[in-house]
Amino acid sequence: MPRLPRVSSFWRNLFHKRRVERDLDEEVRAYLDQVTDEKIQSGLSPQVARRTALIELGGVEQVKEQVREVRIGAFLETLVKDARLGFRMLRKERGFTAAAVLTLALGIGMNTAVFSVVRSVVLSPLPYSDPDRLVCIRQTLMEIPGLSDYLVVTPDYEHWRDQNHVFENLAAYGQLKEANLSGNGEQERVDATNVTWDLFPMLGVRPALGRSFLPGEDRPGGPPVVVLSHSLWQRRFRSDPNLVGKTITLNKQGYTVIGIMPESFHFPADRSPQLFIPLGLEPNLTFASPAFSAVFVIGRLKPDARLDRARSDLVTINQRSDKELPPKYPRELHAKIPIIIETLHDHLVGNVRPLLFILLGAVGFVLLLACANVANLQLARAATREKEFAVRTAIGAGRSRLAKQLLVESLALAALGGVAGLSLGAGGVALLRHFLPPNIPDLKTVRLDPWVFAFTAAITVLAGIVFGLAPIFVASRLDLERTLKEARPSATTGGATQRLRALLMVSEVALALVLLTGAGLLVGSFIRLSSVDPGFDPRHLLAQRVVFPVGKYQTPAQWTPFFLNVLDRVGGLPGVESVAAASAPPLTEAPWEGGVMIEGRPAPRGVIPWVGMCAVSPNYFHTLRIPLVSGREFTAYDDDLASAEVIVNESFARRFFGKENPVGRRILLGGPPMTPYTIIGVARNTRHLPLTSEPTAEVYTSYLQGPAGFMRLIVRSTSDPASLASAVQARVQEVDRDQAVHDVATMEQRFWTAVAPQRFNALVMAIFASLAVVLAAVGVYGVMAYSVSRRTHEIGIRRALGAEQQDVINLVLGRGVWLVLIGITLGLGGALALTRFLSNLLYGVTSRDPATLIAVSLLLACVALIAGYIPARRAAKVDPMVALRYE
Amino acid sequence: MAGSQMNLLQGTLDLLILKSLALGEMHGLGISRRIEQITKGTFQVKPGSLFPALHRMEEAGWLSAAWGESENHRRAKYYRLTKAGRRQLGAETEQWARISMGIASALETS
Repeated sequence: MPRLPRVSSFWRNLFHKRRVERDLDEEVRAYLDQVTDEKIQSGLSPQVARRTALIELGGVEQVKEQVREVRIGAFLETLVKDARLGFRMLRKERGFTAAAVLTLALGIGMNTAVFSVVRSVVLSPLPYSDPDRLVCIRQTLMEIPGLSDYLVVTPDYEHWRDQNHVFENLAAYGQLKEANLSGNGEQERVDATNVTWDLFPMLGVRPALGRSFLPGEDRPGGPPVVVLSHSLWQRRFRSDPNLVGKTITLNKQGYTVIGIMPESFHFPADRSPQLFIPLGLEPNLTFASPAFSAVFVIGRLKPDARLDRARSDLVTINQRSDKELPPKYPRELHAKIPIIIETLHDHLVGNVRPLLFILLGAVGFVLLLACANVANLQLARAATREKEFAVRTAIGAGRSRLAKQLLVESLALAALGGVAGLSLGAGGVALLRHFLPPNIPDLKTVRLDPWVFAFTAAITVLAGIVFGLAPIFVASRLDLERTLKEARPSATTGGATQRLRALLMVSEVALALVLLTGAGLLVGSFIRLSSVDPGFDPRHLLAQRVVFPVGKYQTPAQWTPFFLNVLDRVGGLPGVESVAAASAPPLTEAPWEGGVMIEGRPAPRGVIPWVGMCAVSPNYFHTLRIPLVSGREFTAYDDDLASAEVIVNESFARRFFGKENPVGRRILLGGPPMTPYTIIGVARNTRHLPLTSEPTAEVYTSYLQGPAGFMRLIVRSTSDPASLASAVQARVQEVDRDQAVHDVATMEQRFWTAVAPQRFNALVMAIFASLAVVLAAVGVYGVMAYSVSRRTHEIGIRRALGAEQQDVINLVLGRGVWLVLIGITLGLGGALALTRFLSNLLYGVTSRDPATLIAVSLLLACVALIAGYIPARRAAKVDPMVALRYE
Repeated sequence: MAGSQMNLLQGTLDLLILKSLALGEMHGLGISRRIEQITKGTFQVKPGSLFPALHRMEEAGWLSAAWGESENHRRAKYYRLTKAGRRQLGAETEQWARISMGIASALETS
């Protein structure tokens, strides 16, 4: 006897199968013979003896099967056998297999694609060391509309850093700003940011080359050192391995390169700067210091600290520092400024998380629909296989054995779908990446990783089980005797099966309606947003930003001639119809705000209202084709500050003057002290970014009377504006060789970029919903066609008895219509419950927009009815004679 | 033969087979007849239960099997206890004694 009997048995069962089987067969037959012998000896005739012995035995095959089931390795063996049989069945029924695999592949592929985005954007940890303890702290002195990132003022930051009990580290960085990179090649503007020395160590990121900043390098007057991003190093310096230690020129000042960040480094913000310089903060800043500025703060909590404790700690510190506030500073205000602390992960991906989960939910629905359809196919197939099931039961297969085999068959089908889905998913990822709006971070890393594979495998198995239950349901309700006797599946088989089909059809319609409603709302939002009147004519307009280099052009007296010169030269270019400049033209961020008072009126409740302020050059309204409702535009002569003039927009006029014409009235702006201006015109409202925000009150001042340090040049061309870009840049650099032009885009491009997120939402949901509708239509068609095929005989009789074609159509369609209506009602319920999750993504429609609900219901009803009408019509065409002979 | 009876006594079937083989080797029908005899007709083991049990026990290493010739000169498969089988018989007998004592005392109280 071998030492491990079970192992050797397993081996024998698996690899000497034939011998084991022959042995078993002989053994059972020998038993049968022995019993027969006994019976003969007791006086029965050989035939009767044989039969009695067989009955006593219970069937040779059945006994053998029972032995096989207890054998070691039986599970594995039947699994392999079932899988092989399953694949053989699938190969034999190519049409069925192709339809099912395609359906599943679509469902699984979409889920794979969306999940891989969710996984890399939302579920994967941030690429920093111990990222769970990183938090982002924000605070604001006042609610500034359009300013989505709230900054912390530097005295507060220093107090927190020095006095807190909850943070291991509090690092800060400044707002993104543009620096002029020159020397070794062309001028270019690069995004730079100032960081405290400890930011990189706190994140746990080390430079790939060189070193990071040292303590003390972030003091004012510290050494001019710079750390470059990998991409800038690669692009601008051709990955020069000896760059560290060399000097580059930034804003005309020499900086020593001390380090290059690794390629994998992502700065913890939406936009990644290309270079980093130390943040020169004075130690012991007070609110009275002139060097007072605002920064973003990122902290690392101590291991045991919680967010709420951190917040109360900072609030305590702020209350203490209230005493230091200079007298004119609103003391109550400082203590009341809310401190917002959230995990860095929430801060970075919090705004896209809902969208991604909505998409994941939507593709989940699509997969459910796919499963329902495959279940439907399986039901139809199971009906034709009833006889097979019956025969197999009769020759010894237990019900559980049959169920197991059907399940394995379904899983085999699902596996094929899963494999196909995975490759579709890979394509889907590429497609999604192409269409994803820029506000979704870190897309470079979206790929199919083990987690995605695991997810795909899991949903594949789940799908296999879900639709695999359908044939098991049929097999388990099999009436052996009747099935074997009857020539063909009867119309009466399975009232329960019929109900299951009806249930599938209803749920398909309902699921499709929910998705269709979501898509309808998002498409509606997109259409409304993209048909928003921007207030000007965006065709043939090129816009670019011109920022003066720090250090040169320090005063307004220097800016104005520069700009007049630029406007003059660019205006002379062939193909330029007209040119203008503005500090905040439409489709850019909202303008800076300033206080306004109407002459002769006290400020309401003592608070000076704030309005947007935009400095524009002469010809601005003409160039952008912004209609003036009344009054006139600035001219080149409006340059005298003594008789300062403004143009206001319609919102301003409505807010401060109601129906009255404001032209000729005087207002006070800026300050203190405030400067009086005369209103000379009212312009139509224009839209700023984000496009979803409604226009607010805005005043236009003449650039000649009050210039700004950064302007956008707007060129109206006679032909394609994009082709003018390099010519315009050349003209600007004729005026000043060091002057870079950037953020160049046509106004139409800016418009489409502005609606890109909504376009993405609408497009993706529309794709999902169309698929859902197609799947639902196929489902309805399948159920109807099947019920027609089962009722051919009955329909033949009705026709023979005089029913018209229309009667038959009504008869067949009648039940279908009911089911579709039930499905739509349920779907509407589901939509009303679920669309509120879309609220934040909608524009111009509410999540329960009745028009959308009605429209999608009608659309789906029509599609479903057409899908049902085709088989009904075919039924009506049935020749009664053929139908009757059919049996 | 009631199915419920078989279910209840599933665990005892092994013991009965081991017991009936304690005296020497035997073929399937012989085991079945022997069990009927030693339980005074309480148990009639059907082939559908007997053969799976025999094969399971053989795979567990309690029984060994060999082809031989039956009384009326037919080929038959003979089973015999292995060393492990004897140990198993001892263990199961002891366990059964404990169970039956426990059940008996449970039935006596109250």
